[in-house]
Amino acid sequence: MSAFLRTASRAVARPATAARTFSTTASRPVARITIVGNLADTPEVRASSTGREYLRYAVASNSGHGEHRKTSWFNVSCFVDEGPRRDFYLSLQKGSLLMVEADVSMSNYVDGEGKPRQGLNLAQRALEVLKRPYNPPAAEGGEAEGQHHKVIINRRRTFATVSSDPRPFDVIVIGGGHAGSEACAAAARAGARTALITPEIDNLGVCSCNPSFGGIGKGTIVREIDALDGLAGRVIDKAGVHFKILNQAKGAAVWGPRAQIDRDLYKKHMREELQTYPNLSVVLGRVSDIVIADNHDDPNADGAKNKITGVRLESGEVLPTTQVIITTGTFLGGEIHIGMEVYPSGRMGEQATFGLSKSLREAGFQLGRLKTGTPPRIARDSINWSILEPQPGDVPPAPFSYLNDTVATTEQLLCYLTFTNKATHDIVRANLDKTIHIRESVKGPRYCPSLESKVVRFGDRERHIVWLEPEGFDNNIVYPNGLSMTMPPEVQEQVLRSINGLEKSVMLQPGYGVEYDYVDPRNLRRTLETKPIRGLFLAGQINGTTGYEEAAGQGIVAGINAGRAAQGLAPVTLSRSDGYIGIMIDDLVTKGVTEPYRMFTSRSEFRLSARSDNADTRLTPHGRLWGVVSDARWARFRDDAQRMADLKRLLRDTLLTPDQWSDMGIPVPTAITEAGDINETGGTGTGTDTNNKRYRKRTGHEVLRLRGISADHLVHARLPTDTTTTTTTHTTTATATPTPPPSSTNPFPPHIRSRVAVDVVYEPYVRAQAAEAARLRRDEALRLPLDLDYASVKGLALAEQDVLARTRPETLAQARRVEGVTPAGLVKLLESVRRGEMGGGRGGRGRKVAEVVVQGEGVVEGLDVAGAEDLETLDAKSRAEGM
Amino acid sequence: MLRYALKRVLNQRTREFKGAPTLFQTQTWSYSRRRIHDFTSGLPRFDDAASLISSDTIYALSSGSGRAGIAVIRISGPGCLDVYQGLCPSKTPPKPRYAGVRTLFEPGLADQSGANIVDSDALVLYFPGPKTVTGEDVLELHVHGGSATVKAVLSAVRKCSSPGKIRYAEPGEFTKRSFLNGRLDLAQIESLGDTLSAETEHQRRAAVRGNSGILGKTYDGWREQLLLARGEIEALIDFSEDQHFDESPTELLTNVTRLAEGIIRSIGLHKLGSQRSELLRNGIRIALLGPPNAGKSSLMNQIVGREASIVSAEAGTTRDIVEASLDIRGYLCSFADTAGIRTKMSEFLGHHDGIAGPSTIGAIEQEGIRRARQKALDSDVIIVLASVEARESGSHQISYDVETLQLAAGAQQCLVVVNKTDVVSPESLKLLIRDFKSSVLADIDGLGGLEPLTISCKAAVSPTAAGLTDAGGIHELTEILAESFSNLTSLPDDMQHLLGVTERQNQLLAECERHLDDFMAEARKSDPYGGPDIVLAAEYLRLAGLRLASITGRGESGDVEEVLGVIFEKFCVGK
Repeated sequence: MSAFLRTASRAVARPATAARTFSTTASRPVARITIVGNLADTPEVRASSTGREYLRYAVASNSGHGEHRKTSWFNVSCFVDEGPRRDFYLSLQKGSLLMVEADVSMSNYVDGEGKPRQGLNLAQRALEVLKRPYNPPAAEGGEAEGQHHKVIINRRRTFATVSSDPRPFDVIVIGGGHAGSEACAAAARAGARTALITPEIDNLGVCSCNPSFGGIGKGTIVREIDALDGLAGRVIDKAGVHFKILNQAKGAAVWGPRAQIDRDLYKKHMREELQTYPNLSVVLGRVSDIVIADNHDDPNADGAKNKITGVRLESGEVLPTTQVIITTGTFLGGEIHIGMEVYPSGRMGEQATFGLSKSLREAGFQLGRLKTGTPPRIARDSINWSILEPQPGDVPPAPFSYLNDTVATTEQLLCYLTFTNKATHDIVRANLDKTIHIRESVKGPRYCPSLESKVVRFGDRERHIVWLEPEGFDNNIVYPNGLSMTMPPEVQEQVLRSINGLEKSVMLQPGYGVEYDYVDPRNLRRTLETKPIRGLFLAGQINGTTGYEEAAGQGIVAGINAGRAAQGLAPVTLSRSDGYIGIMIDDLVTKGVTEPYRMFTSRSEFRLSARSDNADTRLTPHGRLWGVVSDARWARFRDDAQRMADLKRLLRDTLLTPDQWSDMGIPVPTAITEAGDINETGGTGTGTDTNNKRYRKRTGHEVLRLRGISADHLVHARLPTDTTTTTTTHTTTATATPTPPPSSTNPFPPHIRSRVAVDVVYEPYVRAQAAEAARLRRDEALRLPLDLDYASVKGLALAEQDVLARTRPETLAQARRVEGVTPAGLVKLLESVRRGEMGGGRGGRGRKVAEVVVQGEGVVEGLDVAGAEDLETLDAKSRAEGM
Repeated sequence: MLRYALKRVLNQRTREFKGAPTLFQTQTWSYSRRRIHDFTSGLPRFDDAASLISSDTIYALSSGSGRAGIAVIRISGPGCLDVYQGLCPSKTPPKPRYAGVRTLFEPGLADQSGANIVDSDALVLYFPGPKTVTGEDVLELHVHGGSATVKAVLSAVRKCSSPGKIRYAEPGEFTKRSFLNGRLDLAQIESLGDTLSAETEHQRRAAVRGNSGILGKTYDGWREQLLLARGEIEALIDFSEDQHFDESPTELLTNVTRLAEGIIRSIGLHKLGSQRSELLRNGIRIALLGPPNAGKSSLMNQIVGREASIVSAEAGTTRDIVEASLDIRGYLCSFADTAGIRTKMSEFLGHHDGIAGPSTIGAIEQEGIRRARQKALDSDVIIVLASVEARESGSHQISYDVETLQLAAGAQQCLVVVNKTDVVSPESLKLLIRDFKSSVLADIDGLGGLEPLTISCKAAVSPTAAGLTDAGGIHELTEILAESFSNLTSLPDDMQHLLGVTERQNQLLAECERHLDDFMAEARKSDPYGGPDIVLAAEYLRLAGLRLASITGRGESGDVEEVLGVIFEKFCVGK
């Protein structure tokens, strides 16, 4: 590889000189750049927000030699209309050596954290292919197995294969669970060459505990992942066997979409997704350790004393890289407990990881220990279903992904309900001494207790609920949710058989407890990069969380940031007001954990505004700016947003009497008095007949906020826009429930209508929370250096110094939430940071992310170019061109 | 194009909402000036740094520590002129940066009669932003320094009507606004450091500390009740769907409603009580200690100048603590008259001489003594009373209690006072005092060189000689007391500052109460169209909890963990 790259780096010097020569001859102001370098990936077609298509590709150019070699990535936009020329560009292979001449401009914009940034925009003028990449016969996966203990699997349609690519991976993700899957996909989406390392291909997307996703709070996380173009939502829609939205009787703010999934289908679809994901390679191997180097010479270290240089496989081979995401779940020092037996393992039948624990500890991380458990599994055909109460799914099932209108399955499986009883509890009590798991002092969760602790802690309860959940369509395994236990297998069998419906059940696998190492998440930044080691990210259960959704939510944030960092782009974070993922990460890095962290809606102070229905409006624009939202999703999002805005405007501008609303299918209850109106907006709604309430006109927004009017009414209403498509509407009287016109001609399909109804109802509350959110963002903009010496902050109480030094908050907002920090302490902090800034020059202590100067031929590169100019400057450009 | 379409929609919507009552009145949305992230539109908008300032108008008493003739109240934010118009309705605002003399009226009542003048001849200064101390519009009111005036002006400011919210400043908020607007340079920040600490935590602690922390305990008690209520309602939201609860949702909500009702009721009671005892909570705390019947209550009455506590000849009359506040030479004091302390160590040199009193100490008296001790420990100044008592033989001696002397030795400042000097001649008194000094005071660490004061409450009540300027020596005692105040190494927070803190607490408490009322309104909804919205109800409880937490200065670490603790304690949830 080195010979090839040397050629490339030598090639860089020449055109740069040429560029200078060129600029001296220009007679008018000009800003132009010439780049010689390798094409990072096949150019892709993107759409500006005005709908204009353009090509986007990245060119990597090297400078320096040996250890000093530095790669700069240039994102180039190319405006070329459809035709042979564009086809030619699209056929360019990754790795081609190109010479690109481009117009340069700087653009100012404001990033996700509200900071003004500069970006460099390159618009291609000319392109020349200097050299095509060397293409050996495609080495499809499987052949090279054995010797190196490393197989590269690549089933992409592009010609280039990873194995032929001499460049090291930008991002390496260790572990292919829920955090790992989202992390590697997000990094790849962000534009980084990513490798996922897993010991077995069969481990990708495995669900080691319950066969279900989502629930109250958790379901919203899945929607948020989907809004950032993650995988989980789409895979669940393909693999789900039973869909239900919890809490439907309560407000939409706490609806919890949940799905039972078919384990095998989930694994299958996730594996397919990952193996065909652009920019992503799946590498089979076992990582024994991370390789780190000293980081003292990094001016932007911000407290990171070391940096990642690669990972070492068990074979001894070292894969060089600058960004590593560890998502090893419970495998770090994992131990399985059944009865009195203890053996090292991460999951039943799989090896635990020990080397990493050691090196993390040596690198200065605080590790703790947590425990969790899983119930025994039962053979489906051994259960007496006929006497049990079934729980059907919702009809029609609501999909998780914003891209889907329906889910894959047409036939849903049933869950069943049963209860433990006094006999069950007696068996447990008699065998409490036979389990090592609950006798130890290691912290388990309070909310997901084993059957043993339920019996011990709530001794007066006569029964506990048990859900029998199917594990799949063609699967004989049933998961008894609520029966997590660690007693010896023979006792577990007794316990099962004491339960109604399970009298003759056959236990396929006993329940067990897992105890594992976690890293104190206060070692992490909000990007999930570790504070001590630059380029090392941790995501998932290793950070002390529990649950698939929590893991995946961290994975996507770590992945986006690792992918961006590999390309020199600024870190991005989610605020608490952005949604549950933001809440979770902030809680983790600010407060640490004392028990496995699980999401509840009560953790969110933005529960009324960050809901499961609006995850896309909250996050998809962020994701687009960060470069991780695909064109397809962006198009769908914009379409939905437009329709919602139109419908809201329509409703706002429609002012009708109760009878007229009823004619449309929204029966305004006449019994409702003025006092019964909710959130009266005043002013606009009072018609001429104010005196006679019966004829008082109301806007659509007011009507939707009336008690007794639900989203269903709007879904089935006949709106004025519908009348253009159905001619008979006006003649029909309001006797029968009007049916909405077919969705093909309906500008407002049901999902848009119900979302608008929810939005309108919550709008006043959302506005109130927006003020809180704004204050939060203001404080988040005040950065604290991570290497701040709290002992030297004048006037800070000792207790505050202590807790702040342990947490090392990144922003004032975070410091504010650290337990034990007083308002007075915050003011002192503010003073101290301000003083530091003044002493060391403006912004001298933060990590200067936006203005990194690359020492390459005097080219100043604004590295934070992703996405922003797509929306801003391209809009401006197309407007200018359109005139 | 979409962006622009949405922006248009948003603008229109924003107009629509102008002037509409929001449900959460504590947080306002400034429609005209700011554009903040709007979740419903989905397109995030980013503010530039300049517009990141909250639109609330804040005010605070900003004159420094120590009593002065003039108090300065500073108001900052977009509503400054509204406040001015509220206080001086018929006058044009003073020329920016020039002082004007104005009469301040009670807002909304002005011009009817002179009765609602809150301060006459106040100096008013108006500084339009951005070149002001906070970078916003600033209004300064220099008013007369008396506590009643300051208090009246502070509450008048809040009553002014303005489109934005007017509220008492959070601790350090002026500084924070200055900082955010880039109006503070390094030197200023450093010099502000000390002022700030007085302005913030210290004050809060002092204010919540109250009498032996009773006030703080009250607030914490409500907070705990509220946590219980929130735990139940949150359990209902997060777990009731897929977990088995013994209680039905209706039962749970009834529980929660009952808890909230209880809190509302006790806040109401508290508000009644706090009006009476507000001044008692603040100022220099002085404890009167001494053996029973030494004349503590008489002395207090002399100093207070009114009948604040029962005075009788029976020992042990004052079994609880009686407090009075007064202004001594410009210092606000809280005077606490305690139960007489009788211990085994009590040294009644002539106790068999028949001083009236029960021979055994009853449970009530014991409690009184315990409280007296507690009071002494919390006080800034201790006055120990001893008295001249007659022996059966006819000679006199000084009766005292050793423990009280020891307690006094531990206080920041103490005075030893000998009462009932009228019963002996000045010559024998001198001898008695000399003995007392050498045989008693010299043995106690810290009281060695102390000169006991001699007074006579009886003489003060009925001055025998008309020419006597200071009958009974009470006046001298007051002078010496005032002197000892200035010797206090750390003055307790200036009373005026505390007025401000109290003001803020009252506002927070009122907000808390309003959220609880909102909760009750939501929780009680039931009509043919459905029951209460539990999520909204929970939100009101959360907001109420936030207000209580900021009164007790818990910072913003939040109480989610405590709420979850309640849930997991009470409900068996989990798989």
